Amino acid sequence: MGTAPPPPHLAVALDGAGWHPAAWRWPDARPRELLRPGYWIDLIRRAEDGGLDYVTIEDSLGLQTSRYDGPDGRVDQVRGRLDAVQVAALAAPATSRIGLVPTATVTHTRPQDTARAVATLDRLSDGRAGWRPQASNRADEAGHFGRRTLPRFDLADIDRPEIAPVFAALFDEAGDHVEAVRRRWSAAPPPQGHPPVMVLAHATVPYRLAARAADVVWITAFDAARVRAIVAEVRAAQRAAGRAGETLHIFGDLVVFLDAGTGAAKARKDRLDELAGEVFHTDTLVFAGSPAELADLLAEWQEAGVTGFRLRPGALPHDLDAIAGLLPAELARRGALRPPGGGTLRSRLGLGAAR
Amino acid sequence: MSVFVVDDDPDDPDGPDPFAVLASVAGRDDLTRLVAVVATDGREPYEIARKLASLDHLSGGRAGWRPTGDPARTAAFVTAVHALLDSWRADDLVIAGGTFVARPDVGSFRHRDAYFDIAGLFSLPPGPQGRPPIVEDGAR
Repeated sequence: MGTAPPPPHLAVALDGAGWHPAAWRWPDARPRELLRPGYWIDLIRRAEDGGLDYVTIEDSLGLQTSRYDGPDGRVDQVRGRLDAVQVAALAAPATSRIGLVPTATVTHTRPQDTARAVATLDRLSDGRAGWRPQASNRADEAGHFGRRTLPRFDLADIDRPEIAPVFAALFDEAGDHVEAVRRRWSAAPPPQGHPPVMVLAHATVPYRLAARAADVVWITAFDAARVRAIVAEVRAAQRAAGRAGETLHIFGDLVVFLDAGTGAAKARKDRLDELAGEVFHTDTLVFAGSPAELADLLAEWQEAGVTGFRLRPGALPHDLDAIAGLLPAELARRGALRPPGGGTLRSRLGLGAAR
Repeated sequence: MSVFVVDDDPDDPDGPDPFAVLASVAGRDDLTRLVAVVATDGREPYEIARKLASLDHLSGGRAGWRPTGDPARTAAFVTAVHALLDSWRADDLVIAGGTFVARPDVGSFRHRDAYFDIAGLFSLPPGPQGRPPIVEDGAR
């Protein structure tokens, strides 16, 4: 037996009524409040009360879609979403400890605008801001700006010879955007100097972006063997980028349906699948089980090399309540819960002084 | 009645983002009107329409804005922002019986003039005011 790893960092990913497409139809959902301030303040305070390190807020320039490459025309899923930086800014005076990490699209937008928005959030929250730069390949989002066109492609196409260079260029551009933001902050530093950059990555090209420009990378996988392989690839890319001595967190990113009893979460997820008319699959593992089963899974992925987790609640507020209540209680029982954190998001994540 | 105006100087790296500042006070009801100055030069109607609609939702219908910049482009900019805010219909949000929105092309827009040629689906319904008012300097 080796020594136990330090307790994992925990974050929660908020989006609409939760990550299951039918979550808005569950009895305790609040689908008519998704654009109201009270909904978001309640959720983010709940995450803070559970001791979570940070909350992320999804966003996109275009309307939500189940497709990677553009609109899907569906009318049975949540459509319409608030600006993520504004949601985080709204929550800043209503919270005092939790990190606030909005998504910011870095395609079609200007680095000076991103830099100002995140720096303002960092000031409003006394150093609790982070941000997630998101590259957009969506042709429909390009049409919103009318400046240029992008070839249409899906994730399955990214290794095709005519698409691979387009995909790589998109992420090179995202890296340039992040570096331009950092240069702005060097001239006029917000409280943290450089609020942490977090990247969701599914493939080699975005792993390289994370290795070059991120403080935290969220990885998707379906089992621990794949987690181990991705961790090795990210660490190699980190060394190749000359950042071997710096902290780059690797968070496992997964969907969570969590209930106290054995089988209860699976039954609830099955019922949501029935409402949706199809079994819910997504870009990463969908967990449905008890706190003990989730704690076992997290321990297994930690053993495979991740340092934290971003958990996507299947349905809100139900699974957020469980992630902020049942899970910390189970981790505490195992001696695997981090002590309550405070201060800036950088210090909370052990990132040290800004580069 | 009070008005809270946040200025916009995109060239000042230390300057605040007006929409983020206004969102942070959106929960306070002692401020009647939350006004974002918007320097339109180099900006796009789509991003500003999104932010205006978001702020109008978060403030319960108290958002306002003051566009500044090249007069001809700014006039076209305002028209385009209004076209985006008008892209959702009043009955588009159903949220009942398995139907969230009323039509597959909810938020669809197409706007073309001398300055802008944009089309697509606008990403959220407008807030309580529909088109948040333009609040001129000195107006109360």
